[in-house]
Amino acid sequence: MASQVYWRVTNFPSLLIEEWEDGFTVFQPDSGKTHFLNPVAMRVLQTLHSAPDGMLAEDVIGANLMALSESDGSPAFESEAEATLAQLDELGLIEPLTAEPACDS
Amino acid sequence: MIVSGFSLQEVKALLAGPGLRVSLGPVNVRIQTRLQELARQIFILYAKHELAEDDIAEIHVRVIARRFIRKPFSAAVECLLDGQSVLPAVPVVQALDLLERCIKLAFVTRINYFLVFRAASLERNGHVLLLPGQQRSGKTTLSVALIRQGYRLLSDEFGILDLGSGQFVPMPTALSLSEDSIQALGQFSPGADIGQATGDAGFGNAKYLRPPEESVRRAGETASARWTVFPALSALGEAPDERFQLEPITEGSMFLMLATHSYDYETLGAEGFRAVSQLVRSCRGYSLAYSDLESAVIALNDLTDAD
Repeated sequence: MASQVYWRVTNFPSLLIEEWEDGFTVFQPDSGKTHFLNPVAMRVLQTLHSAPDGMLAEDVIGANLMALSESDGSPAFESEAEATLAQLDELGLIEPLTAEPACDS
Repeated sequence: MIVSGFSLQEVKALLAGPGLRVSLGPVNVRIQTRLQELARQIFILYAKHELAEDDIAEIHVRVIARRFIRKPFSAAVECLLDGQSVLPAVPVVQALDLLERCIKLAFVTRINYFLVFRAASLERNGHVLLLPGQQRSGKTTLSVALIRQGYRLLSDEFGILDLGSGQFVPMPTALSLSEDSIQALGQFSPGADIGQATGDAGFGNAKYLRPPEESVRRAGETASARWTVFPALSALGEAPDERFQLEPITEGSMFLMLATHSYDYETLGAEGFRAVSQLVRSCRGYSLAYSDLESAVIALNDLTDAD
């Protein structure tokens, strides 16, 4: 049994977002900080925000990104997806929720 | 009425008494001092500035002589901002430099209705050229070289963005030139009298240069930015076409670099974010590596003439 990690975006409606040719600047009123996000990181935020319960399992996020990037799910891609989630978590833009362990059988 | 409408003796009396109230563009400053040499320097450097018309001065500075118990025979001075000492005391020969630093410190820490960049700002063909750079990065030297090419100086140290109008506001103050700057300008424009109408900064051969009369007279004329150029002195090739590199920068980079070069971006919060966003959308950004003043001026003339 493995516990599934869910992620949700923190206070997305409060963010000020500007799109540029090379990425996005995001102002986070809660912290007063400005962040620069690449398109993949912004896609994660938007995907989480539009999810039915405002949260998604990590593997669903990964699958979503894989579909977008037409990746074959290589270890390098998985590592990049994990790094993106870790970075967004560190910036306080998303937060993890650990759900009840799923039943394997 | 401008400061030179008074005699030196009248200015000294004002400085020693109720204070000389000068308009520096976006702010009024009230200066008080009994130091005779400093009064003379103020009279020269601020000769063309308008006297503040109303009674309100946002910045009130007073330069006073100071004696220390440990060094009773060395003359030192202190600058009080609204009665509080905010910078370390310095030898009396550096009184002018202390006064200038105190006024600028007050501006960036107390005035909160502008987004202020660490940048020289100049106007050419009706639009502002913003040159962000850290302290002692050569902004003033480059500004003086550009002034000689006909650019109008808004400020050699600040890019002052009015949050309401989105326009850049002039604040022509005395220009501080280091010994190296004076040497570089001498090579750029041999025979130019760098020392004209200046006050000694009090260290080495550093000087304070009076801002151009036209800049002071037009201190009420704002303008919108069209070019943001991040200049950097670099060791480049000797050939004429290798002496500078002017490269466009991406919008995202420009945003982050502008925010980094602002004194109060974080303090202004969402307002600062919106202002920088608008600025990035309204002007083009470049990095400029240059090996000497002449090549920098050529690059900037080409850029500002092209559009």
